[in-house]
Amino acid sequence: MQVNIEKIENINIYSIEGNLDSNTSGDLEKKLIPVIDANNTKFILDFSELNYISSAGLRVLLGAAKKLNQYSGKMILCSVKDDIKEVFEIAGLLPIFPIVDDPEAAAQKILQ
Amino acid sequence: MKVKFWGVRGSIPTPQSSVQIKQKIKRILRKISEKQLHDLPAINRYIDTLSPVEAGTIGGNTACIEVRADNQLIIFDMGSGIKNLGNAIMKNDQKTEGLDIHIFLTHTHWDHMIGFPFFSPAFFPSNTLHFYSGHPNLKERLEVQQDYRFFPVALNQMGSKKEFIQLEHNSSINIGNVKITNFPLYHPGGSFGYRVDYGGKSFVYATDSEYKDLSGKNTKNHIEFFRHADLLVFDAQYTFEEAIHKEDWGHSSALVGIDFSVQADVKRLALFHHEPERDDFEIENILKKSIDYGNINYPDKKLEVFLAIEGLEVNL
Repeated sequence: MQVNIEKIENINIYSIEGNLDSNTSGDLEKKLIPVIDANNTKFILDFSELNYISSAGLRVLLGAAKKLNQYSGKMILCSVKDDIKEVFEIAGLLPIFPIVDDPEAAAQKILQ
Repeated sequence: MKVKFWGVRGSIPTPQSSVQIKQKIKRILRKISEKQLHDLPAINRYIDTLSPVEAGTIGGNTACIEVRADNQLIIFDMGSGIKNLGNAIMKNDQKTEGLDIHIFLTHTHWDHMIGFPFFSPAFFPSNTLHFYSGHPNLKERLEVQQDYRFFPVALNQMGSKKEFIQLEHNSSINIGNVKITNFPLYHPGGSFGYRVDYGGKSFVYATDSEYKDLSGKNTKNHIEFFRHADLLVFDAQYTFEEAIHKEDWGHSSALVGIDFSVQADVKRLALFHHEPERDDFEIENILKKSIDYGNINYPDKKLEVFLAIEGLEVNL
């Protein structure tokens, strides 16, 4: 898994490539949680290059969402492949993670 | 090795309600009508094809599993399901010279020991019950459960001989040629998983366990414990989302069970410790979604996922 991070104004955009599972979710956690703790509250996760997410990956995203909630922050997912969207549906996480089509739509939603 | 489920429900015995039974009857009648079945033999044949979810029940008794291997009688947990197991032992196994019955406890929460006072073989002086637990003071815990304030028959009034063995954590014990290894699990008050190895087959019983950190470094010991199991019985009380919100309640979800099973090359995964608030159709729906999850994430794996159902026997 590879995470490309950029920051445009006060929005943190994480583009995640590869597999998010028990072997890689810890890396994402290390890149995400300290940034939230440093008072960043707006995150876009671009999943266009994400191939697969397991329960370990979902767990890390939920931990981040829970933390962001404490700071009234927002995390929007975009460009999510159908299979991965279905995994979120199966896990009951669609109400927690807003999913939009592309990064532009994510930026619009996060600024609402 | 034969594994039989006598109690599969979590937390509290959960009988079917009248509303649930009526719902099933209406569904069956509707299907009979749709299929235009009119004569009784055809209707009977059709009903016999229906699953326990449709025309029976997944089961409301709490945790109890029977294992038979190498002519040994081994029981895991003494939830309310052990009452019916005791009756079956009385009918099929009881001999005048007595029986040796080996009982392993995951922990002593009510849903895992509430059935013991109703376990008929425990009343026969010719029988010997061998209790195994990773927890200390098991005898005292059973005595408390049968204190006169809570139950009319004290532990020492049950006529069988009783032996209490406290297991060293992560150790193995042999019963005949059956090797049983324990493994501590994360649960309020602590719980223990058990792995049974016999004749090249293995069965793992891992209920009442929460997995908060799913990273590889934290789960590798669990994965090794489950490695190459022919059957893994796994705590799937919650949905994934519920398990996160009920942090420290000590239970897990089917999705975690599937991920672990794939990593450990488990052959068959039984979802166990069903949530008492859910009816059979809701539990079946969890199974369907879990299978979808497995098909999406692991299309090349041949893991079989199914529900632990009261009365189900699995031959390994």
